[in-house]
Amino acid sequence: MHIADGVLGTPVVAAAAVVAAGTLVYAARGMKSEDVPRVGLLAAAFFVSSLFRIPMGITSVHPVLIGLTGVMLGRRAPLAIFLGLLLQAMLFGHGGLTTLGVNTLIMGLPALFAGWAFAATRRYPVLPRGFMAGVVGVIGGTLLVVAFLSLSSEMYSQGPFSLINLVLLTHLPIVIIEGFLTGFAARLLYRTRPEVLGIEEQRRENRAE
Amino acid sequence: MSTLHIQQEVDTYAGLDSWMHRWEPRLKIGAGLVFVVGVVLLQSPLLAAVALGIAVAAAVSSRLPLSFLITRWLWVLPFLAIMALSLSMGGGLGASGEGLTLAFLVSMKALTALTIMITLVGTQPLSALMNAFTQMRLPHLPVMALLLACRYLFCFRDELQVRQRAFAARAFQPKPNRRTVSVYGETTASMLLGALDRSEQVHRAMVARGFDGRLRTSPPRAINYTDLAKGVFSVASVTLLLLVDRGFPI
Amino acid sequence: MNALEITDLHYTYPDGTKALDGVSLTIPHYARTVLLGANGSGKSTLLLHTNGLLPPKRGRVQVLGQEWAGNDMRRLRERVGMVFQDPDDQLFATTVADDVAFGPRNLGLDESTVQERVHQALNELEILDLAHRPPHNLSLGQKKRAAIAGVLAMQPEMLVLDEPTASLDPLAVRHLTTLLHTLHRQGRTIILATHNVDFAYQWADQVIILHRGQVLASGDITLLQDEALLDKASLEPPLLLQVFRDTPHRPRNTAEANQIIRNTLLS
Ligand SMILES: Nc1ncnc2c1ncn2[C@@H]1O[C@H](COP(=O)(O)OP(=O)(O)OP(=O)(O)O)[C@@H](O)[C@H]1O
Ligand SMILES: [Mg+2]
Repeated sequence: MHIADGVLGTPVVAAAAVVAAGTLVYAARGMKSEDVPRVGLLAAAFFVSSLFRIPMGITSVHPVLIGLTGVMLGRRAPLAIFLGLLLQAMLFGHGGLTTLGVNTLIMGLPALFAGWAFAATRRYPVLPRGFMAGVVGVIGGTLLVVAFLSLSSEMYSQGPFSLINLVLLTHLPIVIIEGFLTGFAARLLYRTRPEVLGIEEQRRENRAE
Repeated sequence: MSTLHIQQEVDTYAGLDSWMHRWEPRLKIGAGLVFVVGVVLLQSPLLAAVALGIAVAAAVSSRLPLSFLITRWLWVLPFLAIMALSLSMGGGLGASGEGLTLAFLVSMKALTALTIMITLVGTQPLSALMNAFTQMRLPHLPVMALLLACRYLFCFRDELQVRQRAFAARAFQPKPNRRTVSVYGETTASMLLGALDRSEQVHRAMVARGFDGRLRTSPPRAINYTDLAKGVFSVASVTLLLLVDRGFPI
Repeated sequence: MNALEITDLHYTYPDGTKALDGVSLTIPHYARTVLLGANGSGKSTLLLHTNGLLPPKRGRVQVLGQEWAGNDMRRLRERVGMVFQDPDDQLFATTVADDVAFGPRNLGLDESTVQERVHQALNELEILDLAHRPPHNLSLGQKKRAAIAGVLAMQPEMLVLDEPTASLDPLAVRHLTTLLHTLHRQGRTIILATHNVDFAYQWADQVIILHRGQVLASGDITLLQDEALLDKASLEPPLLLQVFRDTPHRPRNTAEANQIIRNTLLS
């Protein structure tokens, strides 16, 4: 789900960088020192999730943990994702340097949305909620990839084997995998640490005590 | 699993000595960023190829072996190939010249950026790079989170490796089915659970040593004229490329 | 004035686990105290209270003669150093030297003093050669030493160590014992949690036995001769006492044990 350097047009990259900076300011605002370890650890988890490879035909796919990051971090999710991406770019050469903003938006915005959707459906059982968060995260990310590509050059959408069609095709299995993975993960988290629903919420509960 | 070894490779060439290794890390990061941004702005495929040449020259002159570069390229080459294939099909019939040109341009830019990145990261220890982040005027808490992420990444990776070995020892084979996903889901969750408990404990341990939200680091190495000259040189080279690209007669 | 005075302390974790259930204890200044207890008896939870890292849910905690709160807490942490049970909780910087420098830097010391402290602490734990290694690929015992160095570098007047001997090899344990003796001679109060009864027996002046969040017994080293008590706390008697169970004189260390054997054989 990463877009590399040079793929997108300059105006798109520049605009995305500005919006991403704004998103990060939102994500970091009001951050307390006690939030630091959780953000750091989830950034690391986000990074490491790309090592879970599930073979599929000639390639393999891996979960992205967009939904789960959103569920567990709430508004801080884009920050963790940005840090994870920065590390991936530096240590793996995954993604890109100039597209850090783009990639932060591609995964950070759906994470925010997934976290919000998860919290908003509190009355329903946790497995489908987690499934939904996972699915929403990947679909949102994929749509953003497609949007960025088509904004950059119409050539990316031409023909049956266009890049955009390929992106849609390869992300289809990830949607399902991520949905189930997030569902199972959310269920286990819910059973063992029910208070884990994002930093904001937890703080409110602490105050209420 | 080849990804697991990548990070160990990060420091492999960090101990060598070259103009890149001697360059003050903050300036080096800044100059590298400017260079990559400049290259991404290029429109001529030929000049993008020249930029790749410069990047490779920079990497080789900092004593990074070519084989090392190529193994890292192998990571993105399949994606670039798929893109080239898709673009060259154009409307679906035969190869389109325009599509091929775009694919070439994008590949050159992506490889240049990757090469610069590898050189930036590979020519000092990871710790020095992280230190450089702390010495720039960036917000303290996110930088602290980055340091922690960098540290716990290795913990997670090791844990994952142990778990995958334990899975393999019990003849588990990942397949695209519900069972694999449920095993991975619960592994992810239990690792995250451990991480959550740990994150609270990590915060306590930092507070116990007097952490109050401010990041205090060692004073950075002084920037000298050689550092500056290297910065000017790299910014000038990419500016020149851009000027030629935009048709200035030189 | 005591180093630590705890009265009727209760603590329950957010998930409802009752970890401390009415703990009261007193530790005088300059004592070498061992907190003994089986897994899950509440040792680590108790130690976190000595540094203000967990707020008491009920009861009173006085450290170095006063209760601490709010902004004073920082001063408390300058004076009381705490080594965590799991070094992975504590080590986070990218090199050992940087990690050890973290505490002194937080104290606001100038750079040359920081470096001096780092050098000294690394030297005391004999890990100068690890200074520039990243902590993540050290062995567990090496990590443990790095974690201890990180706290020593702050030069606290009271030291709290959670399971310092776990995962150290025998030589390292002996070395740590010597180091703790030195630190104690320099005038420090040392509190140490462990389930290593043998280590406790050779090192401590004062023993506090914890069982299911309560103090089962508190007193001097002779507590460790009370097999019924230890059994109740799910602990084993020290090996030396198991061997010399029926001799009139109970040896405190191997040298004394040797003496007894020699005397017995010669007589
Ligand atoms: N973060 C936590 N959340 C919930 N329960 C906890 C937490 N930490 C500890 N506990 C529980 O509190 C009780 C006391 O734990 P504590 O860690 O203080 O024991 P301990 O004596 O240090 O054990 P050990 O010898 O294994 O280190 C245990 O039942 C443990 O399961
Ligand atoms: Mg413990």
